Amino acid sequence: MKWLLAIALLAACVPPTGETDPKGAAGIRTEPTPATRGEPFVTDDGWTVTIDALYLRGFLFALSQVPGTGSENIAQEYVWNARERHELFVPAVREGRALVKLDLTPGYPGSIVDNDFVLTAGVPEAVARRFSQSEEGSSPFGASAAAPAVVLVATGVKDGVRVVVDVAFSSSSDTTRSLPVDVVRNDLRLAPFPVAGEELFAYAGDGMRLFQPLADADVAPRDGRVTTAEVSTVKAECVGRGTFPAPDASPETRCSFSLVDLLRMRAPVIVGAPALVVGGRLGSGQAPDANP
Amino acid sequence: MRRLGATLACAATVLVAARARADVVTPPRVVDAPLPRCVKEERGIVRADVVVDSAGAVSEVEVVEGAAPFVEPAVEAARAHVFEPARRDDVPIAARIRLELHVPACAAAAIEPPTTPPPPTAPSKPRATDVALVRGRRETYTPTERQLGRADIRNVPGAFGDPFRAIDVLPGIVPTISGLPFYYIRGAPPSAVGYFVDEVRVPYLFHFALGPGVIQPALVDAVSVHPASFPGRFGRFSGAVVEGRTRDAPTELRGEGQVRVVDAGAFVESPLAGGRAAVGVGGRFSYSAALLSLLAPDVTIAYRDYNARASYALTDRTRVSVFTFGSFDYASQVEDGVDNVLFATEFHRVDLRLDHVGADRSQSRVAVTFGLDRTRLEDRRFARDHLLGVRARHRRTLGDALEVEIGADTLIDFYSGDLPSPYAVDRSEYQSAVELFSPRTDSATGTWIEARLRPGAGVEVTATARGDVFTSAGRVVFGPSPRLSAHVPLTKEVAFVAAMGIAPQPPSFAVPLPAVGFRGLPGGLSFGYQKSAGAEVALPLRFKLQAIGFHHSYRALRDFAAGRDRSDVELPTDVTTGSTVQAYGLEAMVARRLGERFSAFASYTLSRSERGSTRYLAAAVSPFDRTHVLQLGGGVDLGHRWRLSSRMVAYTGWPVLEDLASRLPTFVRLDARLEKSWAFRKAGSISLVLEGLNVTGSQETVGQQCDDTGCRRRTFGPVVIPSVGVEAVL
Repeated sequence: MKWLLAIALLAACVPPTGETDPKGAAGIRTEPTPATRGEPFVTDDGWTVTIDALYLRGFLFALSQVPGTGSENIAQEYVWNARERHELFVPAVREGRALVKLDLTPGYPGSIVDNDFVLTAGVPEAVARRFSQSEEGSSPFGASAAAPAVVLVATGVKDGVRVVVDVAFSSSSDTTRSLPVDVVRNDLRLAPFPVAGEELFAYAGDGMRLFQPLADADVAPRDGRVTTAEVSTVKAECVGRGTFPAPDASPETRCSFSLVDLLRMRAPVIVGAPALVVGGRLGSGQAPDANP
Repeated sequence: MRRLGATLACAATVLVAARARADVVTPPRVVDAPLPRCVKEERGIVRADVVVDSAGAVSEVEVVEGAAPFVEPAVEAARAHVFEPARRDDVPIAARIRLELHVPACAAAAIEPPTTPPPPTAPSKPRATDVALVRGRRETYTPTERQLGRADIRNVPGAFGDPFRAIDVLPGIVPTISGLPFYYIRGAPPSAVGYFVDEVRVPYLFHFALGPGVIQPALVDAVSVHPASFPGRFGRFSGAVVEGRTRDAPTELRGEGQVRVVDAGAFVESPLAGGRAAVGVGGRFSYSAALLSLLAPDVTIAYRDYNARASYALTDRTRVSVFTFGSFDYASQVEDGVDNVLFATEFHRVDLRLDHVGADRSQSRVAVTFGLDRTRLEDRRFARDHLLGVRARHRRTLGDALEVEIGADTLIDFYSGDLPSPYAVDRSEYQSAVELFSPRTDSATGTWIEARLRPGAGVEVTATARGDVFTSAGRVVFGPSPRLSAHVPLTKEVAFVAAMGIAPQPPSFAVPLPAVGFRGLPGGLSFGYQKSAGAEVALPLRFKLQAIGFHHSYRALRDFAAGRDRSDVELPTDVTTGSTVQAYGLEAMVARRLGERFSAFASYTLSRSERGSTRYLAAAVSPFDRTHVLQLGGGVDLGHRWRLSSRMVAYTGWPVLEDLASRLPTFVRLDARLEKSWAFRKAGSISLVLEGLNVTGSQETVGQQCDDTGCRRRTFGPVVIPSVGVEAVL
């Protein structure tokens, strides 16, 4: 009887066969530069700048390169503290080569707390609230209804003058580089991903890092703290070196930028996008529609 | 537990001691054998097994052969018998014997006396092994219960001799897909139908798809369907209860085996220790995988099960038993090169029980159950449920007309499961897996009191008060379950039957999956509100008609309420909270017992199931509704031990999902069975059985698919199950 029972029990084990497609996760390991982590750096116009806070919001895409998986491009939206190292990944990617790409695409206003679709990493509640609201100011790209992609708090010091820039703005471009990652079943594979917050300050388009235009925006009120509303009133003159704005566009069109627009256009460069070929020459005063 | 362990140890000691003892047994002797009262102008014979207790009174009566209207007077007469008790070494003991009771004709007897006088009512000559102690317990019946005994089960065509497959001949059983052992019963989905074997809850009673029952037919004494107001010992299901009861321990070696095209099974059981003990073992093994590899290489179906039990009579009135059984099922299909596992699950149960019959004829049972359920998930992962159940109940008569049972049971489920890699699945899927499979302990504790009043001949009223407390993930919910049923004879041939009750149930999946359940009782309990009434009519030629009208309504039932295409396992709250479903209709069955020389039956269900409105859906007919379910069948003894039986099954198609006013085509199939048997030894037989389910090769339409070019019917099958088998009964 014993052997009979033993056989019956042995035979009753479920066979470990039948498996799903092998999948794993692909992502990036953010590696903030020293300046992004908070080490002071000196701009080309002589300000000593410290990045006190930098939070980013964007979509991480994983594009499987495995033949037959053309439609399996999946993404995960993140909001994270860019001053820290984080592992951001997209799960359920087919095993094999994939390209990961981070786009600081504007999100939509709405709470990101307890949001099933947005993951946060190292984001305090107060900052999360800022990402949940519509961006302040206007945008030539119709992004006024967008939520911010960047929250930046930076302190500039020069000749005893201390100015704090505290701005939140969206990103105007999704052009970023793609990194190859070899996805392994049930595992996480990451590509190193530099984050250079100091690149934001090269918004003038000529490669120079400037703080003075931001400091000059502190007018309403002049309290040593520059807000998004103030930055959005600073007029910028287009240089029109690239395809946008079109070189043949009227001066009015080409010069409809504000300083915050330049920051928006510069934002993707933080996460490795090539610098935009357009830029602007900053004006010396307030835009005509400035709101004192 | 310690006491139980000591009892078992004691039982083992007694078992050894009993082997060396040479008992001198004398059978019970009739002192008074009153004749059954007459009921109509026909004579009838009823055979019944009765237990004569050590005082010489009949404590239990179990009818093994006979039909209405003769059973009732025969049982009355049997209970009135008085015996000199059986003795072992001059000590009075309880014994089970078989009585043949002749029910006389009324008017005809007066006009035309029989040419040969009826044989005197007397016990059959008892065999030495007949003299036994308490071998099992007789369960009470409810007026609305539908039961199939061994003789009926064996002759249901298309059931392959399987007790649990045979229940689909009963009215009220609305199939999902032909042959699939998942039924809607009075609108209640498969998730609301509970399956029990000897009171032990099992996740399913049938092997996957068209497979047989998980319990060997040789073990099964009867199968009952309780569509409403089920006995107090059952609860926690809003719909219905399907109950399998095993046979009593044998008095002599017995066994059954089947060798069929797709599987083979056997169960052998033998008394030991001079009849005080019994041990049996059996199982079934399918080789359908090998067969299918030839016919359909992309499909794999495999199943197997095991059954074993042992029991020992500690005293004349006390028996300890252990019953273990388990089942394994696996089904997969290769699609696009990927082996999709459709179903892979197993369960195991060990039930230890102690039965005691008091000197006052009271019956008590204490039992503990251990179990393991396991279901295959994707990627070599498993969901597990370790179960621990404890139950006790006591039944006794209070006076001549009242019987009371009290009881309590607790079932604790220790759920766990393997989580997927968080890297291999998307976030929502991972969160869902965490919700379902991270370890948790659920419990359900119930108590009940049941009173059965028999104020007059044939009148029976059963009132039950049961309550269950459910706990899961810190949430505690109470589910009350009052029930009432009645059987009231109106004339000699007509009786009124009625039942009503409330049946709570914790959340469960739409199709029960072993070891997978919801955490924290989301959406609260489901409730079934059951109401039914009808009549039983004794017809000429021993035909019996039962017609029952019913209206059941349900709250928060877990069902594929949104449609048949909805097969995911989401949390149920958004779908069904606040939604009430109802089902109403008429169930009728006209039957002459299938075990008779000529038998016939017609089973018909006219019903409508409706799902209630939800946040997103208006109230409408249930996507699984079938207006008509009709079965016609019968059998005939052709002589020379040939028997032929056949069954026609027809039912209305499901509503078309895109247009609920329309129906998919009606499905009709024919099942047939031909048996030739040969006598084997003294009481055994060997049979060659040719049987087929859906011998007409009918194809079932399960939906339609529409695109720019028009609509096409989606069909299933044809599922044709031929079976050539050899069955042997010792």
